[in-house]
Amino acid sequence: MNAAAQDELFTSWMRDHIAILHHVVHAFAVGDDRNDLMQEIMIGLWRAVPAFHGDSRSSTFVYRVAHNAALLWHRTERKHRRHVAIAGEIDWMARPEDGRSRSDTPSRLEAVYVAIRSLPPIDRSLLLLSLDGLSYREIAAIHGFTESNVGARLTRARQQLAELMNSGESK
Amino acid sequence: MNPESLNDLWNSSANRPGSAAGKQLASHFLSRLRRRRRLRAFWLAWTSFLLTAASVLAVNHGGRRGLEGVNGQWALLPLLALPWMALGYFWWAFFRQGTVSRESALPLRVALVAAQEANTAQRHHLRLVGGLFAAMVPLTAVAIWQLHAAGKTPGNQVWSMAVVLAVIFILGGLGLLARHRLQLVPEQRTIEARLRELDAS
Repeated sequence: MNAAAQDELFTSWMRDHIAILHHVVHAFAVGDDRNDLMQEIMIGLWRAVPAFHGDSRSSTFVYRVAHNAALLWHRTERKHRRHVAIAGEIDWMARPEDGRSRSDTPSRLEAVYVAIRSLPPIDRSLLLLSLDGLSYREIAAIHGFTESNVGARLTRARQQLAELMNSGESK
Repeated sequence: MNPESLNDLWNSSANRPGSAAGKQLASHFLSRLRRRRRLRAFWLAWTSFLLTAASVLAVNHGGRRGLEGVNGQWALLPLLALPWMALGYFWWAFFRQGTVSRESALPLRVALVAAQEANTAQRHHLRLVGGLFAAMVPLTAVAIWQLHAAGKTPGNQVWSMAVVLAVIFILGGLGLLARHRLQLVPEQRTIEARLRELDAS
């Protein structure tokens, strides 16, 4: 794959699957760290583009790269400063569109992300995939787990999330 | 919050950036990446040119004096080898940056094991470079002494040369240490934590 084709495919994935990256970044990082993680995921995705041979859906590939990058991400000061400066120049985060969302949607959504971030990283990743509407089989294929393992982990993660959300609401 | 309202909230526009934002982010990322690579390539090419010119001049100078000249100035060789080794490393790192990364697109456990192996290899590599660095310190000291003994460098130049090289060695050593402590060790800990979490269920 030549450089132009790599850039073109990367851009089309970023256009079509930005929501995947948005969810991952919000579930694994807070504040300025979101720009750092977003940059890290984009680097991983851009470098992985030539490894995509079309034997799976592009969304499956993007899910795998984004989740692996988030699960391996660790904040380093040097990279953080550079990444925040780069990604921070673009306002890429979602905003509620006028008239289409309730006014309290952002704060409720942030409460969900706070609860998700309290979960162990791998359970967090599975829960995100489930919230995005993926089946057990698809989740198992992305992470290389068995379907029963995904089911067991997700049941536990959903219970934890419900408890966290309920304790947050009752406060 | 019940599952339906969680679903509605998750799929609301507040949680879904538009495709235009993704496209803009990609275009910004790619232009920064290209600019960075161009600048780095230019810097490496310019440094290579300067080093080649300096090496050609040094070899020419030694060659004109025949075997006797080479014998008298053998210390120039290790002194020239040091920047060439550093430059070779930077070129290697430059080309490595653009290589395909298949590991990030692997299933989680395989990706974690691959990341762990890469981390171990990088730490070995860093130790090797550190060892080379340590070996170069006495070699460089002997080289400076030899140039002084051959009458090629007067006493005051020996001191300035020693100070400059000492600064280079110290900065290089600190750079290696920082990469080990601040990047590779935390990365190793993250990988180990994920593997433990994976095995826990």
